Amino acid sequence: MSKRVLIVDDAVVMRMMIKGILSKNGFEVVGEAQNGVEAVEKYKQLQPDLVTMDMVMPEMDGITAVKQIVASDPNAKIIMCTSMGQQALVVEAIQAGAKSFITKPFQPPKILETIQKVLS
Amino acid sequence: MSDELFNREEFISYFRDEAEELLQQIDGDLLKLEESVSAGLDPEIINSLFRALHTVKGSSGMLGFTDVQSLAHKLENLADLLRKERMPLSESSVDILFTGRDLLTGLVQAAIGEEVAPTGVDEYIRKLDQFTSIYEETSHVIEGRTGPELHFEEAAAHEEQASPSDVAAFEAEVERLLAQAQGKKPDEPSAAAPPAFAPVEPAPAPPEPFIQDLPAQPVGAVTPPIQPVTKPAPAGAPKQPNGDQKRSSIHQTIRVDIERLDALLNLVGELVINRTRISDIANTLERLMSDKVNAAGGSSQAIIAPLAKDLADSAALLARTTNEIQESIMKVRMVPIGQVFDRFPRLVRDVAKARGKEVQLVISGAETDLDKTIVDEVGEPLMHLLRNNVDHGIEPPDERERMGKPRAGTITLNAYHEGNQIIIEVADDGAGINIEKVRARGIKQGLISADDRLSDREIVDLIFTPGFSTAEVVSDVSGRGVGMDVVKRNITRLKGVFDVESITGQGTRFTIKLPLTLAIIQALLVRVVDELYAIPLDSVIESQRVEMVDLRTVHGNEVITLRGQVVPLVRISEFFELGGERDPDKVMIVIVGLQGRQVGLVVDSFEGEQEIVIKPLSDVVGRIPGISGATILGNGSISLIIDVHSLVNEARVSGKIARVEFSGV
Repeated sequence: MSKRVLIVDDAVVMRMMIKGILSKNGFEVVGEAQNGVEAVEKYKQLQPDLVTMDMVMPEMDGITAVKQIVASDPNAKIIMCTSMGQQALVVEAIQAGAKSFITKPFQPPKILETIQKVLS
Repeated sequence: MSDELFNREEFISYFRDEAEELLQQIDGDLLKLEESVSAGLDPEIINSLFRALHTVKGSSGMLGFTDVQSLAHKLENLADLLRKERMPLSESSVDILFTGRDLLTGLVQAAIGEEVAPTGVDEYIRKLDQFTSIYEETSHVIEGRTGPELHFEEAAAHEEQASPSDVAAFEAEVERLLAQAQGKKPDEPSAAAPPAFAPVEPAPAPPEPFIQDLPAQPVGAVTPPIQPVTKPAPAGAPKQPNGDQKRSSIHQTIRVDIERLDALLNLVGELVINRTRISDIANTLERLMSDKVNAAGGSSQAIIAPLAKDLADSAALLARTTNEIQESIMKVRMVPIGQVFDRFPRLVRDVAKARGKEVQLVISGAETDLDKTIVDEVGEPLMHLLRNNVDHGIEPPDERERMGKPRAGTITLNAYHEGNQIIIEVADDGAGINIEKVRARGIKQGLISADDRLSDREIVDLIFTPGFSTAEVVSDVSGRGVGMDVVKRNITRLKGVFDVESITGQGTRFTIKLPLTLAIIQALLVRVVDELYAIPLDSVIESQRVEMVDLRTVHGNEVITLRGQVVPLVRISEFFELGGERDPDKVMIVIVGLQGRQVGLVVDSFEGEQEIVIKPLSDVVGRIPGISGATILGNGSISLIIDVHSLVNEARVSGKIARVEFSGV
C-alpha cells in the first residue's frame, strides 16, 4: 500500500512541487497544510505515514508544529524542509523529534532517498 | 519532454499569483513598519515581512529565477537583522526595504516575462550590502559565529548556491552540529556527512531548477559526479516580453472559495437528476408511440396528461436550476475589491511624501465582491483619482493648520453594493474644486466663453474635458498626461458611471458606479435585414419610429432633429453591408448615448428587451469593428452584440456618419 504523506508549507509553489515528486513516485499525498496550526490539526485527523514540514511559516512555525505533533504521536515521521543558513534551526527541529531534513532548492532523488531512509 | 513531471507554465502561474500576494503583503508590512519607526517595533510585523521574503526566495529558487531569489535573500537578511534587533529600525532602513520591494516586484515581473527587467538592481544590491555589512559583522562577533556559516548565507544569495558542494557542506555541517548536540562524534559518517568543507565526492544531483532536468532522473538513480553548473535559461519563461504575447503567455487564474464551487456542483447535480427525468419521459413517449393498440385506444388523453405534467415540472426545474447556475458561476468570478485597494496605502504614502503633504488613507468595504475583470480594470482609474486627491485635493499641512483643519488630510476609499451595482467612493477633506479657477481655465482653453452662464455643476464637469488641468505647475504626480477625461472614459468602458461632488474648502468626492459583472447584460434586440443584433441597454436612450420626411442630409449623411438637437444617423444595414432595401416611408431608430452625444442607429424592427450572456468572438474571427461579441438566444439562434462605441467611431473614420457639431452641454 502506498504511503500517505502530509505536506506542510506556506508556499503553494513548494507544496505543488513536493506533491508532484511524491505522487509521481508512488506516494499518496493525503493532505496539505499552510502553517503549523493546520499541520497539527491535519496530522491528528489524517494520521499520515510521513510529514514534510517547512520551517518558516505564519501562525505557527515548523519547529513548534513538530513539537506538538511529536507530543501527541512520538512515532511521527517528520522531515524538515530547510534553506541553507538555517543549520541552527534544523538541529533544533531534529532535537524536537524530526527524523531528517532536506535542503531547498529540492533535488527529487535526494528527497526520495531521504524519505525512503526515514520510512525504512 | 514527454514524461514531464510539471507543467512549467502552470507553476509559473501559481508563482505569479503567490508572489503578487506576498509582494502586496510586504508593502503593507513595510507601511506598518514605517509607522513603528517612532512607535517601536512590533515583532509580528517584522516576522511577517521576513516570512514573506523567505517564501518569495524559496519559490523563485525552485523555478530557477535566480535574480529574484538573490534579491529576496538579501532583503530577507536585512529583515532578519531587524528582527533579531541587530540593526535598529530607522527611516532609512525602511526606505531601503521599500526600494528593494519595488525592485523585487520588477524582477518577478521580468522573470515571468511580463516586463523587462528593472534597471539599477546591481547598484541597489551594492548599496544594500554596504548598509547591512556593518551590522552583520557586529552580529557575527556577538553570536561568536564563524566564517563558514557566513559562507552558507552568502552562498544562498548567489548563484554559487547551486553548487552541489555547498549544499553537501551545509548538510554535513548540520550533521556535525547534530552529533555535537548529542554529545558524540559522528562515528559512522553517513553519505551526507563528510567532514565539513572537505571536498565532497559523491555530490547530489546539481540542483538546477529541476523542472527541466528531473524527468531524466530515475528514482534513486546514482547521481553523476559534480557537473559544471550552468544555469539554463528557463524554457517557458522568456526573459524579454515579446510584444502582444506579453500577458497571454500566462493563464489568468482566480482563487475561489470552495463553498462557491460546492454550491455550483450541487446545482449541476440537480441538472443531472433532471436529465434522467427527461429521458424517462422520452422513453415513455416512445413506448406509447410503438404501442399502437394503446395509442389507438380512447384513453390516450389519460396517459399523456401525467407525462405532460412531468415534462412541465421538469422544464420548470430546469429553468430554476439554470438561473441558479448562472448566479452561482457569477459568484465564482467575484473577487473582493480589496485586491485592488491593498496597493493604495503605499501609493498614497509615496505621493504624499513626494509632495510634502500629510495624508491618512482610510479604507472600508475592501471585502465587497465584484467581477474579476472589473477588479482588474478599475485599479488604474482609482489610482489616478487618489493621486489627484493627494495632489490637488489635500492642502499642504501648514495651510490646513491655518484653516483650522488637522495637519494631516484624510482620504477615504469606500466600496459597497447597491442593488446590481457596486459603488466606489473616493473622498478627501481637502480644498475642494476651485470653481473660479476651473472657470478661468475653461475660458483660457476656449472650452467656454467668459459670458456663458453656467451652474457650478456644469463648471465642475469641465474637468472631464480632454486635456483639462488646473494645476498651475505641472507636477510629477498628476496634472500631466492622464486626465480626468481618461478616468471617465475608462469607467464608461466598464459600463460604469463616474461623478464628482465638491464643496469649496471642505473636500471632493468622486463616485464610481459599476455593474457587478460584464458577462450578463440587458440588451435591446433589433432586426436588420435577416439578422438579429443586440444593443446593450445601458447605452440606449430611446427608440423611435420616424417618418422619412423628417430626415435631412448633411454632406450626404442622414441626420434627424430631435427636441432641437441634431442627431446623426448610422444605418446598420449599410454599416455591416447587409444589403436590403430602404423603407421609403419610415425608419426605426435606436438613439444611443456616447460620451454625452447622441447617435441614431437605423434598424428594421425592434424585437424586445432581453437579458443576454456575452460570449466573446473567437480569435479566428478576430476583432470586428462595431461588434463586441455574440450571444445565444432562448430559441437557439445567434445574435451579434453591437459595440456602440467602436461602431460609431468606425463610422466616423469611414465617413459613414454626419459630422454634427455638438450643441449644448
